[in-house]
Amino acid sequence: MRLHLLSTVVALGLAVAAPAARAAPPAGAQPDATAAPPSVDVEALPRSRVAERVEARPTPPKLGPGERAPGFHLERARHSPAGAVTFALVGDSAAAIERHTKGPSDEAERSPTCFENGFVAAHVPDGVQWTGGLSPVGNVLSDAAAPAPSLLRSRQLVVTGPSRARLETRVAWVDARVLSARTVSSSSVDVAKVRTLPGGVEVWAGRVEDSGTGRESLHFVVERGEPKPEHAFIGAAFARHATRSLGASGACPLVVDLAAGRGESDHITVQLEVVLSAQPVEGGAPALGVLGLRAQRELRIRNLLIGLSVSSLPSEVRPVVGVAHGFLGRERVQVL
Amino acid sequence: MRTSGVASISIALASIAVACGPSAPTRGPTTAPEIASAPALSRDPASCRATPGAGALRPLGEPGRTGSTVALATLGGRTVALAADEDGRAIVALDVDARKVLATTPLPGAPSQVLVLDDGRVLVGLRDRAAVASFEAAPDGSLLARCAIDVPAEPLALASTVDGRRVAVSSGQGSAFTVLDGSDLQRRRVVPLAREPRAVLFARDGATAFVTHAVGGKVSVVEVEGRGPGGSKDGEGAKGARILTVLSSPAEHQHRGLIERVLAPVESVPGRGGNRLGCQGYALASSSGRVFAPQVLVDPGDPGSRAPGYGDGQVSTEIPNVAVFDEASQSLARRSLEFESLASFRGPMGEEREPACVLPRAAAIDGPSGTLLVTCLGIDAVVAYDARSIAPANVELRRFPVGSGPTGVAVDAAGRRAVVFSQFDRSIDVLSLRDLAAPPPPGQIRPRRGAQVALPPLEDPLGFDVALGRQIFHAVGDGRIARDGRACASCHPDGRDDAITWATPDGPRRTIPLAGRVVGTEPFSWSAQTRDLHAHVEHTFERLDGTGLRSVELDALVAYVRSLPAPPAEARVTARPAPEAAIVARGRAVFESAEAGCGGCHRGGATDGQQHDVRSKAEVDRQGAFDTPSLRNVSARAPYFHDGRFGSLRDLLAKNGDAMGKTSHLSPDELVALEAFLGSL
Repeated sequence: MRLHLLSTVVALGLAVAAPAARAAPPAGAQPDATAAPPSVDVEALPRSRVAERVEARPTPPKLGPGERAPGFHLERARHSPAGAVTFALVGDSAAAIERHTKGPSDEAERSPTCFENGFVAAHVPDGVQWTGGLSPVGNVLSDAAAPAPSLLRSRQLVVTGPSRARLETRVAWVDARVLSARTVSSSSVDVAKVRTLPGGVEVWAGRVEDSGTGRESLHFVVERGEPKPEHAFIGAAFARHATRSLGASGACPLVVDLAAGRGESDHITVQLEVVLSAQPVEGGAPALGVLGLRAQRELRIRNLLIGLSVSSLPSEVRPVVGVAHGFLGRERVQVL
Repeated sequence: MRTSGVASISIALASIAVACGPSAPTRGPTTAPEIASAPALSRDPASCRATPGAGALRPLGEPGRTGSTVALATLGGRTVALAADEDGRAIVALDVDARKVLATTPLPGAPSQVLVLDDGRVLVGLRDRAAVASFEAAPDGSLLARCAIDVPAEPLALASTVDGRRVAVSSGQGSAFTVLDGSDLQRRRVVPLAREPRAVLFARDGATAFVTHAVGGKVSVVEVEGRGPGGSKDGEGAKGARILTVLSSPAEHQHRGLIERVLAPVESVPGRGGNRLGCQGYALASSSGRVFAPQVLVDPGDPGSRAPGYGDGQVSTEIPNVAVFDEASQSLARRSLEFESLASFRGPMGEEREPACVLPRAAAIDGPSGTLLVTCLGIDAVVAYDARSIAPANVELRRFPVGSGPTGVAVDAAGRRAVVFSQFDRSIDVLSLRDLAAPPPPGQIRPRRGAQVALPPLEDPLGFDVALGRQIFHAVGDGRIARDGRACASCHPDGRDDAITWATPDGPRRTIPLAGRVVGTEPFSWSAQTRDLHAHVEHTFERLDGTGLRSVELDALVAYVRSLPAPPAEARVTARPAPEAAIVARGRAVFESAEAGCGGCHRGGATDGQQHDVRSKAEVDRQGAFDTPSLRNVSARAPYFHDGRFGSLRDLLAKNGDAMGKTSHLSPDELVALEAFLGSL
């Protein structure tokens, strides 16, 4: 079934200028405006109205060989055995799969389309259980004994301006046996940049109202910002919530939605490694390895923690948004 | 004495000493070099009013303040920090910009907190004198004594309303909340509270106040203008005060299955089976209608099972937390109790978090940045959290290193700085808040230290061993003491007890208080394992999987533990009506009677040094006989028995099944009398 993307966006001003609800500075205070981290004014965030529930049932028994869905390109995995189980890789294009199979390179791509597996599940409110792990290339399989298409979701942050972007989401059934895809739904959420953090990490946020239930939430997107070659040497990002875990590998963004209705509160903590600096090593660097290669760059790497919070206490009329960052553990230096 | 120019000094220092009876100060009076003696304090209400035109001191920051061990004010164009120096038994005034000590004002007692009112009066809680003293500042920064107000035992925290009409005092040992009139500082109301109240904060409308408790995971909400003194037998649900349970009380929480009575539903929080307990509630701060209560979430293990140490060792025993309340609705945001599993937050090289803030002692808000600052004993740091987050403690924004033993913090929002007083090394740090949002400069791994000023040396400082022992007692993240970084003070806040029953290798064990309860109470531990305190402490380290201290440090720790005074209990004012002497005497007679048999083991309220089987063996206990505990201060340290199965003395006396002495034959009046006598010990 198709999801109808219902309406749209109320474009508003910068999200980070106004103070948060009831967070006015004390009387008499003369704060240095450059000193404090800006609060996030939830009213200034772009607003989107989408249907968040994915109507994926009933599961189609199979897809036709020629079916195609925009943004879902399938190729048989090279290691896929010729037998009962068939594996396929999914990217938004053949080039994306090619980049992925070549491994880390200096030709990093900003905000690639990333994929996440899902499963139809009766026990979850949205009807689909997503794994929470975003990867630049999706993996699906099909078992000849019980052949059925797999559910995939793609996410991509499309930057449309210096502080504006659009989070595009597509859901499709894909079939590894016939390398076909069928669109289930697509939607788009407008977001604004609310923070730039150490290492170039950017945090984007937008308000979302579910057109089906009226539920309000805040969507956060945490991404590494402009791609840099050294990003190949840092680990994946992940996030821990009271009830779920999320992850993002490569340059994939971490996408989080937190409940933002009246009287609701929610929070999540994101951890990712960041490169604080990448300096060329001056002459005289020690030879490394058996080949006697000389180091060329020195990376300062540290674990960044980001706390994302949306909360509305009983007496508060607007949600208070918290975007805070700190570091975890000590800095490490990696020589390349 | 610097008391010239003060009118109406009618009762001198001696009167306070007499009024307060034999309660011993923590140590002999000491003074800074230039000061000869403490000022006299009057109890004349007229002396408590602000002197028109006198006192050039004005508080910094928003009206409606909480006290701390350091307060900021302006005096003659200077920004002045007033530090309540407990070791020096004095208030020290510091010119913050010049980093210069202006004056030291000796006190007739150990100061707990200092609070500057809008009219320039300076209030100081005298923790060992059951009084709050009022001063006015001289132009040189010294304080001129005005008056003293009696309050219940051990005043520990102060606060004032936004309009200045009311001042509140919490009394730790007295388990009370006292409302004073803002003009003449006379008592308006004394409300009994649950045990170990600490920080106080008024709601902006002044109608209610919040009070934390060092143990029990509670915040009390008090109706400030309620009628009458209130009063219930145990303070729970006393008139005018209700309990906001941050986490379920240990007695209710832990003993499901161990005792038969029906317990209140356990409020589950994420973590190990919903079995974490709140503790270390020493601080409060508020911002934009939100109240923040730093605390620690403790997992003591399952008391229904044996554990390898204190707790089961499979999870982080103590996790820092900041509970968030809605001031207007007085409701707790349950989400603020959630924590992510930080133990798994390690980098690819296995980096671990630095020792956590598990001994929070004071808090303040930096309004412009929306930052909550918390001082942390044991790690000697001020930790900055995001006050806009519903779970602030999950991410530390910044950690400022400060002096040893930071007990107070005050914020100069306009000056973009915070001032921190550290008691253990008697120093004041000035922290810049200008770069809270900035990333660390290249190559900087740890935050740089701000400016620090040491207070003038004392003529009679703490002994080396006691001073060192105090630092060790509060050390967090010291693998020699506990593998998981716990401090001695984690289970023994203020040298007392955490009111928690821990899973141990021997079965469930309720923490034993130390303060005033070590000397003469051998053998030690519920199992009476040794009469040697050194050996007992080392055995505790083994259970905590610590590697152990060097002998000089162990000696110092033992010296400090031995030096801990009993909580000051004497007071003119009490939250609950004091029983008549005749009732106490009757209770003593019951206690000493052969039929009741209490005095046979608790000789004179102390211990016989023996073990007895009082049929209290729990299923997982290795033994049925337990050390006779001293009954000193027994009424203030619920719950009772080795596994904390009784939540109140009345329960203990009524429901122990005559397994410990014989009380079932006692009439209701005799039970009341016996309880009154126990309360007098």
